[in-house]
Amino acid sequence: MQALIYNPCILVRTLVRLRHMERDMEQRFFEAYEAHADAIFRHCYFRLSDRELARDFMQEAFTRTWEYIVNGNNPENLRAFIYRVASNLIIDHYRKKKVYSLDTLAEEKGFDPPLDETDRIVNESDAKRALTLLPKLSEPYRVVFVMRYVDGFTPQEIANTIGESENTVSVRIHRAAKKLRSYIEEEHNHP
Amino acid sequence: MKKHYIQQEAEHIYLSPEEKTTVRGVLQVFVSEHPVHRASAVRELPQPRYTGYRTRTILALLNNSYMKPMAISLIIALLIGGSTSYAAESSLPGDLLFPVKVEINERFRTWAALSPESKVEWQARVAERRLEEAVTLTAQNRMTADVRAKIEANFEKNAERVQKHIASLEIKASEAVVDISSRFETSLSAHAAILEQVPAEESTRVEVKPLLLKIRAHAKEAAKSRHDAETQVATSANAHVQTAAEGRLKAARQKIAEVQGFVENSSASAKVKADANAKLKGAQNALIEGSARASAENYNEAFLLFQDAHRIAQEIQLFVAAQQQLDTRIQLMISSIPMRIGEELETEDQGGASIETEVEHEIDVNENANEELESIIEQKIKTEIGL
Repeated sequence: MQALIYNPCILVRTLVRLRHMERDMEQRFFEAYEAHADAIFRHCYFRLSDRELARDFMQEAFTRTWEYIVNGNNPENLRAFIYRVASNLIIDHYRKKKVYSLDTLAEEKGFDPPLDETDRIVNESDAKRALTLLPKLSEPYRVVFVMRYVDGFTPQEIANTIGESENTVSVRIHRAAKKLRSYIEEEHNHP
Repeated sequence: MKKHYIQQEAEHIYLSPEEKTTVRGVLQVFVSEHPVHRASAVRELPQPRYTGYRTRTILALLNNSYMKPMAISLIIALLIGGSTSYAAESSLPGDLLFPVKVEINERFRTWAALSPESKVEWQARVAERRLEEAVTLTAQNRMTADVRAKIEANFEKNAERVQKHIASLEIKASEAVVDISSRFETSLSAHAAILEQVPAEESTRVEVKPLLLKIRAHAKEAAKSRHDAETQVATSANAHVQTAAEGRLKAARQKIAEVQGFVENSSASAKVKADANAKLKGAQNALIEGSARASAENYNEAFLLFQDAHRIAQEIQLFVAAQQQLDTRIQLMISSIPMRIGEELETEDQGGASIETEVEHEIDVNENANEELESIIEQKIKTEIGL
């Protein structure tokens, strides 16, 4: 350490190297922002149904990601990480609100629905309606639906993010879609 | 892959450019206020000897964002004056480069110390440096009133910071306080002892006296802190004292062994070595007594005795180290003088020339430093050159 201080060349070189590392991280971070801020915002919006709140949560997700980096970590997949942070923030938000939804989460014993079947439960013309009816879904259903159909994650990716098994996720997506379908039909029958 | 129609529909919701820019602005501010710590970089830096205290020197520069302007100016100063700051390290008060040493080098290291512990450690070291300089100046009889005032002021400042830190710690961590104040106390005592004993002219001695008083005062204060902290540990709950005592025993044993080796291999005079070894025996006796108390389960007293042993050993080490340093400096001073004698006395008669050869001869002998010989040589040189 003495040598480091007393030999300015080594000192400066070390400083420059550390500064580059620092700058690289900053660069990666803001590149991720430019690429994914929109998508994360959208994700938050469809889960919170509130634009301003969604913006705040998006900002908070990025902020906490930076904190994580500053504490010496280096997440390989920034996009996935930020999503996880955002998702956790939203989950905590709902947990605090203690919202007990009308449809309880039944036992997840279900069959493995074929993917394309789920994908068309809500048909194209009803897409818009489905999105506006999202607030009616309870949180566990909503999160998987949004991640699947708004963000475009695969069930495996969703499973990794929310910490459930892939099977549970697929089943839940299927049920979420069916619920939305039933809400849409309700509307048709009782406009 | 084609996007699902729901996703396409969802994409009607998006951030406006203004919103995106606004949030980005907020993030930029956050990022600049929280610069990156690279944990891997920390591991790359070599750790200093004192366990438990880490000095993340380089990273401190990156962390201290409100001091960034200072970092940049320091770096520039180092870049421009690179070898200057290096050379300044051995300068003494009154030398041209001394301000570089204090204002740049020392300040840099204070500021570069990240944890409060390492900061205090460094400040204690700075206080020690002033004492080392004082000793050298005294030996060279260059201790004028205003040099002494400068040393005193700087020493006082750093010593007080150390005491303040010790005081703030006292309530929290007794064992840490024992360590820090013990180290500080022994360092001050050792240097004061050297300062008193170094051969110098009367006029220099007079100048040095006030400094000595200050040093002794601080040593006393540190001793009191240490004593209080020791008592606190010694009177704490029994299980805790036992582990503390065992820890101290280990530390004391290691320290004594370390000091024994150090004294053996040091280039101090035989007299100094003999003294040191005699004192070390005292430390060993304290160890033995402490062990007796420990086996009688009197851990409180055992702790205090082990602590004494450690402290004695440490003081011996510091004293011998300081003596060695002084010797080196005197030798450097002596060996650089014959050249001048040669020049000045060129036109002198035989008397002058014979003194020159006498000095040169005695310098060869002086390789195995002998205290009395040193002072004889010093006196001869001084009378000849008229210092």
